[in-house]
Amino acid sequence: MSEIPAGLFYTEEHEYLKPTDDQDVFLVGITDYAQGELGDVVFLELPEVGEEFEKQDVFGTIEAVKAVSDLYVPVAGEIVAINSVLDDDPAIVNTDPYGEGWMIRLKVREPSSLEDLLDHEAYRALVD
Amino acid sequence: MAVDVALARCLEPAEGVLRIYSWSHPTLSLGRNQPAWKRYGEVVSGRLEGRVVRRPTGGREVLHDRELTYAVVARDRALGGPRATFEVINRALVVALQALGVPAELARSEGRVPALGAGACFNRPVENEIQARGQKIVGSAQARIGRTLLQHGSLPLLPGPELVPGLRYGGGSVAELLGQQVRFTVVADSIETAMAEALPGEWRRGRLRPREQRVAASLLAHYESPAWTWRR
Repeated sequence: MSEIPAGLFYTEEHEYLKPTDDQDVFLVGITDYAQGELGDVVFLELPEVGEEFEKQDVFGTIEAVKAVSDLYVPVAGEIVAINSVLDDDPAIVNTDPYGEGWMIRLKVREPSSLEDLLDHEAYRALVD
Repeated sequence: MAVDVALARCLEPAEGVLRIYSWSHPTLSLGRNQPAWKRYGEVVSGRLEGRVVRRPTGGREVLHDRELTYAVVARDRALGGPRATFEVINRALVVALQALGVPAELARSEGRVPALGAGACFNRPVENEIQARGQKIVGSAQARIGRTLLQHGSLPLLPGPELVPGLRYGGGSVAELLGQQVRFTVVADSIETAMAEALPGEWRRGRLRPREQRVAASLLAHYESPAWTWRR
């Protein structure tokens, strides 16, 4: 069974937002369920720091085995950091999706937009 | 490539598409994200007279010549997740090949998948790809385009020439495995029959619809541009 930690926000596209110590800044990555569905991740293409995105914009791509998928911004915001460690070792997304496998740090433009996302129980219901 | 993506973009919610085609000239297709310029940029542009494209799908390079290419387009998750879809489609291809007498089977997992710079796609099967007598016989790759999943792949019908040093099909061909040539249309019919049995729904033959033609035409410049082909 996939790991779905409490305290995070989730999307129907199988991405998560994890709170950080900085106000309105969240780590974004793909869920344990998503990495299991995709298989071994071999490549990630991530945006530049400072880029701004609207909700559901494509912020990057992920390739696993031979499948390429777009990555979508869960809520509007600005990229304040990317996880460049994944350039050399994208498989961290498989082994530690909620920890070292985060992809971007997103400063959320409208904190109220988080209300549209799923909590861990709703996400569990989606994938079970 | 533009037509395959147009089919994905224009797919109606309850539809699926199987497209079977061949290439008018020997062509090298690169995976969406594979690094290729250093390895093939100058060599290929000479030997293949610039006939190089970059796919929207993942994986590594495939030399298309004397082969059959298939494309399946379905709603995302209609057949399961990416790996489940890969297995469903490839099982249907195995049935199609077995019906022709090719001893095809799905490959088992052999550890981690090769890196994107690890050489031609046909050098090594990954889990649930199709092999026969230990040789990879179909090379396939996927892309999720919006809410649609595209999987396309290459089946060599005849042994291909080594147009670029070190770049062959790598695996076998239908003719080598059977000891005789099989016509393209015979292989295509077998795939069509097997897919129709494996994938749910009622199938009918058709041609590109006007909207699909328009979208394909609008995408052509992108897929022909050197900026896309040699993006990495």
